[in-house]
Amino acid sequence: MTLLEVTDLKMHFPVTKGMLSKTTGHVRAVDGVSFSLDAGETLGLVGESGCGKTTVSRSLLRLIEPTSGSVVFDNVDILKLNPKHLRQMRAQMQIIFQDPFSSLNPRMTIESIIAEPLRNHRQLSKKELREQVAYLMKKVGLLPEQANRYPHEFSGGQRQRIGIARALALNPKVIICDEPVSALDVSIQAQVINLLVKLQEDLGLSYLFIAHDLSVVEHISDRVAVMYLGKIVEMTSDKELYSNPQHPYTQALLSAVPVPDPSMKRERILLKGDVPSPLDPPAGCPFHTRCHEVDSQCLIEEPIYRDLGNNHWVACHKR
Amino acid sequence: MVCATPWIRGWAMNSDSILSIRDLQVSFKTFDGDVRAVNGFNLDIGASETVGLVGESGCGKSVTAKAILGLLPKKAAMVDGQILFRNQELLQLPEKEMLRIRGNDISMIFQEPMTSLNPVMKIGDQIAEALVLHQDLSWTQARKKAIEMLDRVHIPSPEVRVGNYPHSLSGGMRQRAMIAMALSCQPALLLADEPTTALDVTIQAQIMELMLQLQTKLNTAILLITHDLGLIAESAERVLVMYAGRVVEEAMVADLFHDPLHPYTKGLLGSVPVLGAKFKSGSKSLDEIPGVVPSLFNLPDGCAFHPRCPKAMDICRKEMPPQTLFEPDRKVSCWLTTEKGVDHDAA
Amino acid sequence: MASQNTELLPAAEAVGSSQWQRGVAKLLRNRAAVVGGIIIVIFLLSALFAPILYPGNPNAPNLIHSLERPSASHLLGTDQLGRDILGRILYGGRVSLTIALGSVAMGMIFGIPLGLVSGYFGGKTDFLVQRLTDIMLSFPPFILALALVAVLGVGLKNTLISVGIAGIPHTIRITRGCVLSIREQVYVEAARAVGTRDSVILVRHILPNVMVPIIVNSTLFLGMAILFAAGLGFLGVGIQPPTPEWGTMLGSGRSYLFAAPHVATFPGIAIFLVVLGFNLLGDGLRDALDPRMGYE
Repeated sequence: MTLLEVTDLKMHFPVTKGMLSKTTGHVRAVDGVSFSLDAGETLGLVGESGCGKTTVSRSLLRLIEPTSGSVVFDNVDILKLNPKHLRQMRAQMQIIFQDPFSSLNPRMTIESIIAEPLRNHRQLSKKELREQVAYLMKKVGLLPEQANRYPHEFSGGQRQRIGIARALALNPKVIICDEPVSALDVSIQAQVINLLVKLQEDLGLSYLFIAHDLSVVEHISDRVAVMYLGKIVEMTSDKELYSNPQHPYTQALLSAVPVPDPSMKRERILLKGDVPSPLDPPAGCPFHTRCHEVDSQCLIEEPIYRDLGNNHWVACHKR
Repeated sequence: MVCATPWIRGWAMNSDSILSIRDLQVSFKTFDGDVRAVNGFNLDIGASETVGLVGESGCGKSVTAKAILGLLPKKAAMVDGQILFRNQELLQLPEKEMLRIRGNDISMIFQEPMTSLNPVMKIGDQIAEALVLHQDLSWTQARKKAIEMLDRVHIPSPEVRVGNYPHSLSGGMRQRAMIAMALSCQPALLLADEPTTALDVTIQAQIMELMLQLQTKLNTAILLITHDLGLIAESAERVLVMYAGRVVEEAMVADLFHDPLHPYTKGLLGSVPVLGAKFKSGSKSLDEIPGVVPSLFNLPDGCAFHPRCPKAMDICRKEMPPQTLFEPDRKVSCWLTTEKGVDHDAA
Repeated sequence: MASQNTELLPAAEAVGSSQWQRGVAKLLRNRAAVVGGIIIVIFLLSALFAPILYPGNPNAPNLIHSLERPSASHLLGTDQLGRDILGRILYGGRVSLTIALGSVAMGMIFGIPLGLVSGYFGGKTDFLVQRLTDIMLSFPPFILALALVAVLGVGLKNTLISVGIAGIPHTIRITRGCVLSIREQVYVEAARAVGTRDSVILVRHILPNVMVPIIVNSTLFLGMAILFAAGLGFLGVGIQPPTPEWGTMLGSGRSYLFAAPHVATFPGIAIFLVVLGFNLLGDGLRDALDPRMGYE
């Protein structure tokens, strides 16, 4: 059952110059992104810096207002909702942030932080609130007795758990995980990843898992979408992506990820140059400036994003 | 550009060590008391060798690197032990002598190129500065050499870039500029502290490739400090694993990954998600290490890892295990292995 | 194997002290700030206990004893109307304290909400508020106070209002600056994501984090307020006689500067000490709480 259907989402930021703020151009942070998320599944969204994945997460929740496109959640296009209904909808779709240090208000107790969504949307007595918070804390592996402490008294991994408890408070159907483990140590990453997997099994959650670390994304996701300069260049199941990557960027990405096995011999595809600026994306295929399979068509025409069969989508002229 | 990976190294250099560290101790005076960041660190690096130093945050790896170059704050840091570089005891050297070594014989590159490059100085001048200071070149000669260095690190249009300020360059290019600066005087040892952590993975691959190429050409030894096990597996010949200020395991890279001896190393390797691994194991579950890294203010008695260790024994809770030597190249600090190995006093 | 309850370990890291504890300790180590603090405490206590310390009427003229040098019966001498200077300084302290606290309170009551709204919502509101502030700030603050007195008239109440208004634009600016940076913090975004209304965000999330720089600034402004009131008093357009106020005392003592310098000098010293005290304390506070000023 499809929970979330995103169609042609665009987020163009105007670039202004001068005292009168004349718009001289646009940063095409998200340039026509489409995907769907089913109940109980994890869709991974991976890409390097500047690809637009974080902007996608903010746009889905309308924390920033998308320029165009549609985001249909539970049969309702949330981009068209008025503020009151939007607030209600937000209860269904929550977000976990990357930075465990700045995502919690340092002057609020853990209890207030986790109870905030409940206070906004539900009418609960003080006792009920406390019980709910205790339940949520236990669910994420924290001791409820510590509800009166402040964020700075907890470690990074624990603070991330607090963020997860906050996201779970309203029983959402979808949780957007925006780089939830990137700021954590390796051994703590594993704990949080395992926690997220377990919560998904227990509560039937759907995740949009956004990260730049392909190993983490591939591990936790059922399907993966690869982004480059505001567009999705490839989307397919995790197994297909790993064993049969089609887009040259995906292939380069996979080969660039260092694998903790010294005996693995690999052919490494090294890309030339840097990621172009989203202010001035290349004509034709945005990847052509770094592609090892580039030819004349790639310089002029943008490739069509299509299904190669068995739900494996690629945007490349040569596939 | 496709290239067969040059990263397989399974052999150790047979030269004498250019850097020998014995029993390095570093403590910091803080508001809440004294903190031991490094507790008995030993290391030998041979010429042109690539040694990896891996650990999580707070394990003391960056502090160790800074201690080598004397970059720790003099008033707050208490450093003890022996650091021998080409038979010079670095910890006893006056600052004037250390200045001659920094950037010249031993160089360092850092994680954040934006903050380690002077934002109001042109790139070319920053590179030239080291050359003028250490190699006695004139500014004109040094600037010419700077262009050469920029070319060597594959920065396109180096003659133009030499006059740029750091903010005009991308993250990858800034890191290349830092490498150019660090290697301009052909140092014997390069300390690379998380050199690619702030970079995208495709840029990381480029930078690592570059560093290792230059290493071969210039015969520079590298101490690669990182938390990324994959990077270590692909670049290092020998690896040291640090936890709470101590080296818990040291081995040749193949041995460490295929036959880890210390429970922390095993736990760490199990925690890392590996591309494609879940299809073989059939599960999305990772082998996690329970608990958190202890705060340096409140280290447990005995072995610092024991609260999180699945195999902790009574003695682990009371006494810190010594470093035990196995075979010619393996060292472990763990009570589990002491009977089997040779009892050694942190050699 | 994965286990759910993996972190049933004490949450409190051995980062034993909180920011406040560390801030206070840092403050106490700053000798200048401590000196400033002591001065202020003495000033506060003497103002509070003025009636006990000087039981008589400080305003009652006693011409027989006019312009007497400091002696055993009059520790700081008497002024041109024979009134005990020490007593008038003590009571004058009350006046100064009233003005200082009153004007800072005014600045906060009007300045903080305007700064919050202006900084958080931006747009036209921000534009309007900023232009207004610009206009007010284009006058040196004392001139502004003077201009307001010209409109409102003299006396304690009007002095308080004038000095208070002169402090509002500064408070707005500081608040707004803080709000601009805190607004971008992830926890504010998180609050919006869980459905918190803007008004609640302003009060629960932004205001508490804005208070630290406000407090530092207000401490410094307390000193300024006393100085302004004294300045207005000196010029004769502030507190009017017979109410004792240091600046007014200074002003009327001007004529006797060579014959009886103590009449003007002692109030002047009082002004100097108190303003110094607030400045030292305020600077010390800023150093102690910096770089945590409004950020975490």
